[in-house]
Amino acid sequence: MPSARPIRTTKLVSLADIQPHPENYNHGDPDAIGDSLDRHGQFRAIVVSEVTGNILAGSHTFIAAKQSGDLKMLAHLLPNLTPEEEISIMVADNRIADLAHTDDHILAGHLQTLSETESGLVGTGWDADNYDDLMSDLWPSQTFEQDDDGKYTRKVESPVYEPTGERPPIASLTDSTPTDNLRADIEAADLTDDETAFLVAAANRHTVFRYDEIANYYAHAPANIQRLMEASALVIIDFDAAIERGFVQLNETTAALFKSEYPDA
Amino acid sequence: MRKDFAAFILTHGRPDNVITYKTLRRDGYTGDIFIVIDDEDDTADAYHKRYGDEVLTFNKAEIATTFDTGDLSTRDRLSIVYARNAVWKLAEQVGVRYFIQLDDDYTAFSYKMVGVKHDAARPDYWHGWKLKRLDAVFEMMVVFLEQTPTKSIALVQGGEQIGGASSHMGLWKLKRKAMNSFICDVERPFTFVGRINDDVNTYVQQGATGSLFFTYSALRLDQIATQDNPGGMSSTYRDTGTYIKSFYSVMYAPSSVTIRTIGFVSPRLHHRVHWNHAVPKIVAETHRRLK
Repeated sequence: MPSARPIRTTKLVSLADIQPHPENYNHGDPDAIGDSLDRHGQFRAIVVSEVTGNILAGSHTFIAAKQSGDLKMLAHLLPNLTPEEEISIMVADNRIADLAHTDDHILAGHLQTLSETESGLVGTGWDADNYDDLMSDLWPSQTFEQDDDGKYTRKVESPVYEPTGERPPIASLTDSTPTDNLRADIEAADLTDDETAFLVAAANRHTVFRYDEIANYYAHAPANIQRLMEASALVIIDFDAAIERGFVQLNETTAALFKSEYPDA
Repeated sequence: MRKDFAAFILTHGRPDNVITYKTLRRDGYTGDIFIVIDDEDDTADAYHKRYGDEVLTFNKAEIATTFDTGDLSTRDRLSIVYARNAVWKLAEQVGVRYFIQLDDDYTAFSYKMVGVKHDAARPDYWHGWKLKRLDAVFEMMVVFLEQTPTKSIALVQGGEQIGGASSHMGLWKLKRKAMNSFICDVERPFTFVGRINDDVNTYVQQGATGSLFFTYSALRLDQIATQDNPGGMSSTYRDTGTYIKSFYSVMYAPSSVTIRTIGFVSPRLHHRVHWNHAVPKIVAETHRRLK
């Protein structure tokens, strides 16, 4: 069935030429949308009545963009709408979104994936608190573990790395590609020996060290190489398990303090 | 609160808005507090009038000669790194061994814990719980410094818990970084580097050669967004955005920090720390061969 009001055009419009519909009843969160714009940009055009400039979908995206200092936005322009049609579209846009059903398990999988990226959940409208609420609702055993009394506590991730696997090849411990490229340029240039030595030393700063592989290598290395690796701080030895024990004590004391302040929690 | 500990609040240009002071007292800290200002602060008189003997002033030009700012800028010295490096000497001056150095705009300290809160129908979930025993928390973190070879341990920032590599905050963990709430030992000093982004610069540069910086995930502080609080670092960030800020950390650790863009409509640059390339792993002594 053909649409009753086809989009006339989709284009960048000046924010000075449009405005939220004066009778918009929906209260969005411009700050959350602003975070999304920062992360994703505008991934969907807002909907604007061409005659009046009223925004029928995306009012708070408009507000967030304006707060960010943007001057233009991508908009679908709908021609020749009556006042009733403007409101009808606005209501439909809000209500139809409300009717959607969320599969929390799939959502949680996406959030977990995102939470492990550098940008994390920023711009998704989710934050650490409500994400963890969702996770604990769905899979309490993955985020939490039960203590002897059957109460849930958070899982503990040790700061101490446990080496794994066979001894890795030494070539896998570093990536010198950026250094090698710089070195090639340096050696091709017409420089004094001193200048070359200095620039090569500087280029070495770009060598990437893979500290997980280095720790794996350390675990298989003979004592004399281990001493040299320690002296170069290629690994940090947790002598007498001081860090591990200090961490455990931190957790125990924090838990005790929390319990003393919130005995009913 | 133990007598060998003090809190230093680093501030500039907002004597009427040192939020952290009230927050510390409200949340149960009873020890000494010192307000750290520099000798180039036009509002110094107002600080003295309000906080009296608690105000400590450092010579900014003098401290500027003691560390690498990472640039040749002579335009201003508005960033916090000068105060961060000045605190060591001030701590010795007031006779404490341990201290926490804080920004001036912290609004709350809290636990991140599992527990029943507002909704008894959901028996186990977690949230931020306001701290009321800050003395005990700080003492506990000092004990951690005493027991381990750590340079500094910090509380996690509220915003920092959202995302970031390996940042799943469902865990009790120590992240290998420290920002904004450094608990330090004057006998284990370190130098903050870089005029901007000094915290990141410092933990990646010095972390790479074995210095231990930690952030403890179970304790959190909340801060007013930098741009929302006039004075302080706001003008520096407004002038340079995150563009220049991010490159400082790349300069200090080019093999482990990269620049990436975030956003499309108003794209900006931000640093990214590749942790597996940034700091050596901590390994149990059991893996160490004696011969």
